[in-house]
Formats: sequence, structure tokens, C-alpha cells
Amino acid sequence: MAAQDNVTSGFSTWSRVKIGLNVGISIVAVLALAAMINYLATRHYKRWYLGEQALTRLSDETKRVLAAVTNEVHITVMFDRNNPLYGPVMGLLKEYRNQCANLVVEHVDYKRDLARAQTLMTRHQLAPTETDLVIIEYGGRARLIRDTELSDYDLTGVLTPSHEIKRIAFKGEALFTTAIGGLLDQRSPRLYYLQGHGEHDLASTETKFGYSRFAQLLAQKNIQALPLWLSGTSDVPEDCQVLMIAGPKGRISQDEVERIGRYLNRGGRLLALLSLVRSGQNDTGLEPLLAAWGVAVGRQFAFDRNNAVVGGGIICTNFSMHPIVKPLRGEAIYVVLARPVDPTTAPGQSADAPRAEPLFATSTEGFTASEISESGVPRSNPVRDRHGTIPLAVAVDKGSIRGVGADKSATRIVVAGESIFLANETILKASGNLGFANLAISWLLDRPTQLAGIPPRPLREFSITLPKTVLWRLTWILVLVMPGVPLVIGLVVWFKRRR
Amino acid sequence: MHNYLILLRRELGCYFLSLTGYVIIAGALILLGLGFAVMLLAYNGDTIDVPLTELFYGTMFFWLIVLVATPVITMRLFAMERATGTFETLMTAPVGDGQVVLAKFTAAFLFYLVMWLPLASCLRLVHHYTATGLEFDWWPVVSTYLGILLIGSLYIAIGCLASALTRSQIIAAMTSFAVGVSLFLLSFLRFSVGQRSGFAAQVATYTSMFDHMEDFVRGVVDTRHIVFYLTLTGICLFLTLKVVESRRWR
Repeated sequence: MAAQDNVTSGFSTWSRVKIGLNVGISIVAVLALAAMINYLATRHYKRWYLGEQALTRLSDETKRVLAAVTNEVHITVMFDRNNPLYGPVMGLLKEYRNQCANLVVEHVDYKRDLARAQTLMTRHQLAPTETDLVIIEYGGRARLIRDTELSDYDLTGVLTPSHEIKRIAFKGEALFTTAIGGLLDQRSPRLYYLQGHGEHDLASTETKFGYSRFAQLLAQKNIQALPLWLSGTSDVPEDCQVLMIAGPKGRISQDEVERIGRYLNRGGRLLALLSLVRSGQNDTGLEPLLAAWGVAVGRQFAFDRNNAVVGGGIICTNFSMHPIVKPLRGEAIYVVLARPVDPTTAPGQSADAPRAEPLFATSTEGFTASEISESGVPRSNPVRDRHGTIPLAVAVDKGSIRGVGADKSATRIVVAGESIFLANETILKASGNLGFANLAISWLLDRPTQLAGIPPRPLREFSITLPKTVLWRLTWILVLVMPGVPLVIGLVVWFKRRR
Repeated sequence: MHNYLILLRRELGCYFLSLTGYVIIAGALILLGLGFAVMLLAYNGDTIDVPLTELFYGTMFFWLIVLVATPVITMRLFAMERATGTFETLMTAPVGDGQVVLAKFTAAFLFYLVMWLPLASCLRLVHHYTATGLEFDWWPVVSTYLGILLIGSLYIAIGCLASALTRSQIIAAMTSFAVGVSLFLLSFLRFSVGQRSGFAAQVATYTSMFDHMEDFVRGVVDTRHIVFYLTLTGICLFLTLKVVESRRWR
């Protein structure tokens, strides 16, 4: 009887412990093995892109730039989730992150995470209106990319009754890669600003004429701004990527103009902001040089009956198709007592001749006035003045192929008949002023090395316009017919088996 | 192998020769149809930059099917056998424990696959009406299925383990559902921790099922996702095997 009890008692305690230990060790071993496999998988992985989604694959240029990232690059996407570019931006940055473990991508929804957004705005000295941008930081330096820069637009719909402007391509990869490459490179593009003729001061925080806000924009774009005096024997430096002449009060000497001309002839880039208010209604000396490049700068003031603002200001909403102002459609540029700036390029001239195109203009109700009375009333001279659309800014391009990034030796010029519109106070008065400054600088700096030769990615659009009858038919098919089929089969099987 | 196939046939019979299996499929299809119908009603008249077929995985309907259907499919696997007393008969038959576990898992997985097959026709149907003039790209559908199957394999393996632990089908389903939901909720860590740097962020991103499915629906197949699901499935099946074996040394 005792022997029988021993048999039914099963495993001994020692055997149970041994089995338990065995099972425990095997479980730990399997878990450790799984952890190791996953660890290795994160370090050595492969991604395949099937079908049309090959478009999301990063270019070799981007991979090369990302391979050089050895320290942490912090990318902050300060975007509203409802912005149509939020998805493409985050999707692209996810690919960047997959490619490079040293990238940290943070999304800040400025509408929800107010505290974080405020911190970023303070740190990068952003105006409250400056939202929807990507901030790339590395080694204490930052590069800001605004949403207006990220798209290519199709403006053919502007003339249709719906006035629809379509985004057709996404330029995120070219811009992000250029920005990261630029931050890694440590060398910043150099912008020289002419001094010696009472130009706007980039260090001045004075509200009306100071240009410190513009200087901040340059810093955000990782551009080094340096003063330049051409009064001595010095020429425009070789490393000058953009020369800026902002609202000179005095006349620029013939000798200086010749040096600037030589700089332009060797593929220089010029941003000329010429204000008649600043120069005391006198020419600045640059006008003949600009005329040779296809730009006629008038010595009148431009007005607009439709978009007038007290004090001689104009709200410009009439933008051309030029890449600088394309993204500004729907926005406005505020200018005060601007000079008319006309393109004078004659049609049918040789292919390598400078191409001048207007950027923004008054409405058809614009007019020029040669004089203004002391009370601020414009006085038109029937001989010198005119009515109609008055262009206020022009872009000149020579030596680059239309639609393709500019060649290294291509000359580019942006001339605006106003300079105060980019001063500290005015630059924030209308949404387009800061945008114009940003886009004009980007266009002037556009060189093969900057854009890294990465083409924009076409954006797909899916319009769902189903008539109600089709919509309901589809709904019934999806909700009733499709689930009904297996249910009927099940009932048939059940009924057959029951019999 | 022969024993395995016999067991597999027996398990598949349990699904396809009973009304329950078809009711599960019909239930899943109602959710699937509702998901697409809701999206169609919401976006009709709008222009979106991703096809509607890519948005479906982001709806609650998709995850509801995965989270609810898998416990329902798997709850009976071992629990019912224990409750009805057929488990001992099965275990004393000349088949290995591993074969039993694998056959039950395979049957549930195949049933899960069949349950998702109508998704392809749903995608084709919706594409036909919503992306006029555009070629239907089958490759993202293939990768979407890969994602669905990988997630499904993990959830079914979790269901197998839960079912092996108890003789009550309800408890098995609840346990499996709770573990599944917890795993799913881990995906939300990506939105907080995942945006920082460091180990925690890497883990949050690595385990985020949202991220995985986002890749799969866009036609991106990443070996990391595959390894993640296969290893977790393997662990759950190994644990199930140990639970089944435990009757020998209890």
C-alpha cells in the first residue's frame, strides 16, 4: 500500500526543481536570443521599396550627406498637423531617420504645444506669424526652412473661375539635404552688404530703417553677412555669393559701379533695393548698370488706387509666375513709395542675353507720380508718368537654363524699387515681405552645390467626387453584400451538416 | 509531417465546418466595409494627397479587426479542448507537443488569412471609384498583406498562449485581448518618447505598430519589422509549447 502511494505521487521535489530550472533557463535563453536577433536587425537592416512608392526612396546624394553625420542633428518640425505638407515632411524625415541614427526628429504642433512653440520662437527669434517651418540644428547652428519654400506650384488654375493653385511637387529632400550638408560643412555662404552710402544697417534694431530682422533671416539661413566697402581699391571679394545694396542714400561712384559690374559679369548675384525716399529722389548711380542688365528703374513713385494704404503704401497682391514669388500667391507684400522697376529685355534676343522678369506689381489701377506735394498728394506729370500695371521688382537671370538650378557662372539679379519694406517694422507688416526676402535670397544662392541636384518629388492628388447614388451603392456593397456572402456560405454549411 | 497535416486538417475543419468561423469572417468584413464607407463619406468632395486605400490602416476599424478578431479566433484552440476533456486524448495520441502547437497555430493563421482576403477586393473597388485614371498598384497591396499577416501571426501566437493557459474560452479571449491592446498602445509611446533621442526613443519607434503599418501600406518592406514580429511570434509559440508540455511534469 505504501509502495502504491509512492508511485502515484509523481515527480519528486528535486525532479520538479530540475525541470523548473531547465524550463526557466530555456525561456531566458530564447528571450536573450530574440533580443540579440532584434538588436542585430536594428543595426543591419534592409528596406525594399515596392511599386510607385520608389518615389519615397532617398537619393544617393542625400545618403552621402547623411553618411557624414557623426553627431546629433536635431530636426524640429514646427507644423500644424492640418498643413497639407505635414505628411510629406514627416514621411520624408522618417526616411532620413531610417538612413541615419544620429538624426532626432521632433514634431511641435504650435497650435497645441504652445509652450514648446514659444521656446522655439524665442530661441530662433521668430515672429509670431512665422510658423510651419522646419528647424535643422547642428553644432549650435540652425537652418530654417519655411513651408513656402517646400513646394512647386502649378499656377495655370489661377485664370480659371476657381482660382485654384495646385502644389505639384515637393522640394523637401533638396532643401533638407542642402541644409544638413551646409551645417556639416561649417562653411556658410557669404553675403556682402555694401556700405559707405548710408545703406540700411544690418545691426540696427531701429524699427523704421534698421535691418536686424533681415540679418536674423540670413542667420537662420546659415548665411554669413559681411560689410563691404568698395570706396578704396578693393574689388568685390571672390567668395561673395550675394552682394546686397540696401537703400543707399548717397550716390555710388562710377568706380564702384564698375567693380560691381565686373562682379556681375563673372556670375555674381546682386540684391538691389533702391528707395527713392532714402536717396532723396535722386538716382543712386546703379541705374545705368541695371539698365545694361535689362532693368529700368524709374525716378517716380508708384501708387495703386485699388490697394492704397495711408502714407503712400501699397498692398501688392499681383505676383508673376517667377519662382521667387510663386509661393507667395495668396499673400501680400507691403511697400511704401516704391519706384517702378521695369524689365526691358527685348523679345527675340540671343539665348545668353539676360532675361528680366517682373516679380510683383501694382494692380491695373496703378500709376506713377514724379512728385509728391508736402501734404503727400501725388502729382503726375503727363509726359513722364503713366497708368496701368506698374512693376515694382524684377529678377534677372543670365546663363542658366529655365526650370533647372542655376549654373555656377550664371548671373542673377533681384531689383526692388523699395528698401524700407524689408526694414524691421515693415518686414512683418505683411506676410509676403519676409517671404519675399527669404525666397529672393534662396533664389540668388541657388547653385548646383546648394541644391545638391535633387529633383523635386511630384505630389499625387486624389479627388474623391462620387455622386450620392454611387456613394450609397458602394456603401451597401461594402457594408452588406461583402459580409453577407460568407454569412450565406456559413448558413449553407451549417444547414447541410445539420441534416 | 503526416501527423501535423492531419491535425491541421482537423483544426481547419473546426473553423470552416461550423457557422462560428463564417460569423467571425462576416463580422470582420462588416468592420472592414464600415471603415471604407466612413472614409468615403468623410472625404467625398475633397482632394487628398494619399490614396484612400493607404488611409485605411490609420482608422480604428482596421485595428479593431486585428485586436478583436484574433482573440475570438484563438480562444477555443486549447481552452475548449481542456474544457471538453479532449485535450488529454489529443496529448496521449502519437503526436508531438510541438506538432500540436504548430498545427493549431497554422490553422488559426490560415483562417486569419482567409478572413483578410476580401480586403484586396475592397481596395480594388474603392480605388476604382476614387482614383479614376490612375493605375492600381498591386505592390503596396502585397506589402500591406505582409504587414497584416506579420501582425496577425504575433496576435495569434499570443492567443495560442492565452488559450493554453486556461480552460475557459472567455478568460483566454480576455487575456489575449488585454495583451494585444497593451502591445498596440505601446505604439503611442512613439508620439512622446519616440521623438527624443536615446535608447527609450529607439525602442518606442522600433515597437510602434503604427510605424510598421505605415511603411507596409506605402509599399516599404523593412527587415526590422519582419524580424520583430517573427521573433515575438516565436517567443509566444515557444511559451505555448512549454505550457502544453507542463502537464507532463506537474
